[in-house]
Amino acid sequence: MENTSRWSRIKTYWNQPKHVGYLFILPSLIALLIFAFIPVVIGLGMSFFDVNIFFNGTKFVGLQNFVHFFSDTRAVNSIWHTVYFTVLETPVQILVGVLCAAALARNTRFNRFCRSTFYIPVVCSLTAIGLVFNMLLDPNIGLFPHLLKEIGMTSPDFFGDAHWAMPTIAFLTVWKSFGVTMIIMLTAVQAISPSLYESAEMDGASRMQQFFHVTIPQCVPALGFCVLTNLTGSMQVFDQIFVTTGGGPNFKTESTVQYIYNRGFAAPYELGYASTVATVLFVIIAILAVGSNLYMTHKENQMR
Amino acid sequence: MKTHSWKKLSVLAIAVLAALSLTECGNSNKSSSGSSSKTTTITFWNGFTASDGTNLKKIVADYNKTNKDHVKVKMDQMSWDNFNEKLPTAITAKKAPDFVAMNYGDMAGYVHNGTMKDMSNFYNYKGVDKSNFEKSAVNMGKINGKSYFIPMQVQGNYLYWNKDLYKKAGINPNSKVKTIAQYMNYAKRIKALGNGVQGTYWSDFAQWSLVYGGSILNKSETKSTINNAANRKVLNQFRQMMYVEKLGNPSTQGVAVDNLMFAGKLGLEVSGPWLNEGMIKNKINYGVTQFPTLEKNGKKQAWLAGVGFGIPSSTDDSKTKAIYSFVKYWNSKKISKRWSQENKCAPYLKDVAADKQIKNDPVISELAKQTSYSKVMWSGNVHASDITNNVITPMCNKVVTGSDVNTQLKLADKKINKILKDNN
Repeated sequence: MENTSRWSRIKTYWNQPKHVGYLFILPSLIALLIFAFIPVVIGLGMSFFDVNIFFNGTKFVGLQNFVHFFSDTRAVNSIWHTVYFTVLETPVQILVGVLCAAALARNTRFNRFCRSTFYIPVVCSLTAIGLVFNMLLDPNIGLFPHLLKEIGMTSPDFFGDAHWAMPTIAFLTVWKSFGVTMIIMLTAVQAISPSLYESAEMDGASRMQQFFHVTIPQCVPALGFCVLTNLTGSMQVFDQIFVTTGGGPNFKTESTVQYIYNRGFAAPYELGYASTVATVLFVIIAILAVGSNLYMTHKENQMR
Repeated sequence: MKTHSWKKLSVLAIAVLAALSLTECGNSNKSSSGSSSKTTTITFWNGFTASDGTNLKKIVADYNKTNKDHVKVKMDQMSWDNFNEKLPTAITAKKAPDFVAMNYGDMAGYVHNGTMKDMSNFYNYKGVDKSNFEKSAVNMGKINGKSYFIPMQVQGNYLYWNKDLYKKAGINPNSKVKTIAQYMNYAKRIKALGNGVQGTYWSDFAQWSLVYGGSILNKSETKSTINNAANRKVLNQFRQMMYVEKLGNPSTQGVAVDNLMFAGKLGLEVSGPWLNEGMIKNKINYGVTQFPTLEKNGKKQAWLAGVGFGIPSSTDDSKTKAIYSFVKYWNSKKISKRWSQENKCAPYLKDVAADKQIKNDPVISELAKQTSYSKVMWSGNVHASDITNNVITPMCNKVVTGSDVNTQLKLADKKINKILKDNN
């Protein structure tokens, strides 16, 4: 009897709207705790140790790994390569996504077809796409260089030339992922009240003016989300580089995550130092994420 | 309010514990290997995934069917990259397989960390004749005087050529390259054919260095000696062939070079025995010979590499006998010969090398020649992979794309010394 009343008290407590929300976020919280928070804390802790993957001869080295990081040109360069990739990829992806969303906002059959087509690469494996691009752009047996040669043009070595490799990887990534930005922005564009466009039209605003003064300001929250997720995603770039260039030529496309992988999960298996590089990357991403979030919130407030 | 917070926290804690215990349930230690009263099951990891993987699978199946020691081998094949990612973490998590087949270059790191068992007593196992093994093959698995790895396969650097491209370039298709100068001459003539055909590519620096009389480390392997005149000549040769004469595209490497060979678009390539499989599969009219010497009739020199069987230290001693049973089976004349014939590998067992069929096979007999004179490089040196992957290969990559040889050698010298100093 007492058990029943206790059970009903628990049920009543958790059925209240202000409490039930915690239950809804509980699975995500648990997942975050296990797969994000705990590994981050452990990684941070490990960055102060000289530890290999076998956990053999582990010793506390304090800040030594961090000091080593700043004198390790390959590590510092990997940060620059990652930033370079982000600078190339994020703005283009946002721009293409926004333009496509604006152009395909109306629900015509053609637009729906285009949306689906543009979204197809998103569901494809990045590894498979990397391999396909690798074959298409191969200077010896690739279709694209062959076609260029057929029309009398010299084909650059897309993945082999240090100047072309990173832009090519950024292009591949934009092509694969802009569908996500497009869909998010499309949802935001379609939620804009038509009355705003009608008012703008009555005021004599051109399509371009409507885009910049109605569409964009109304989409700032969605835009902010896209910028944030893109930025953090680009700073963690790995798969496409691993598959296409492996970090080459001459480490010119080696991203920070790839360097972490090469240090921690290949000889010399320096898990402690790899954790140090991961910690540095984490701090950079955190600064960028908080910075962009603050900026977008500020913009959002300005628009109100 | 305070009570409510505690309640929420308790619920959260219970949920976390429940999730953790569920995770634990999922990972419950279902020993991958177990033994019934009659059969001992042993798990085996390796990185053979191409047609050699299929051949290996058949050999394991045959062993499982025919062995009288009541042993069952359960094999897991993965790419070598995957193998090298999985094995260290599996060893740390005490989930390692009972035995593995591992590349020679990676062995020392595992032994240095105390994760591999001494297998020296395998050579005393009933029916094993140590004198039948080529000394170089046995030495390959020796670290600090102990045998941690028993040979499974040996490999060296061989020069492959496309006979059809030779013909087109006006070269006798059966002409075996003897010297480096001849090699370069042929590569230039083939490159001159145009139409996307490449002459050759740079290859294993250590092999070239050996032939040119250079060295990378001092005798005690405590200091770099890479910045020497012979290595300068090697790098100048690489720079000349790739950057100046453009005998091949400097950005094409590894498997992509093999693919060019398989597409009939490459004249000459220095590679391991695995190239044979692709050549045969792609019906390339080819020949294979020893790595050339600097001068005509010069002394042939080569580094020996290969794959060996090893036992992680986590493996229960009760399984050693079962593992030895399989390794002995592998190193029997019948199986070793079969492996050599199916995969076109050089034999390392003397009775296999002396076999008539092996001697009459033009490819295997050519590869076999190298086993007798080749030697093991940096046996047991824990820095071997690090130096090769993170210093030598990047140095060569820089040189073949036009960087100054002296600058790169100095830089490599500094980096190698740093690796040796940091870890000693």
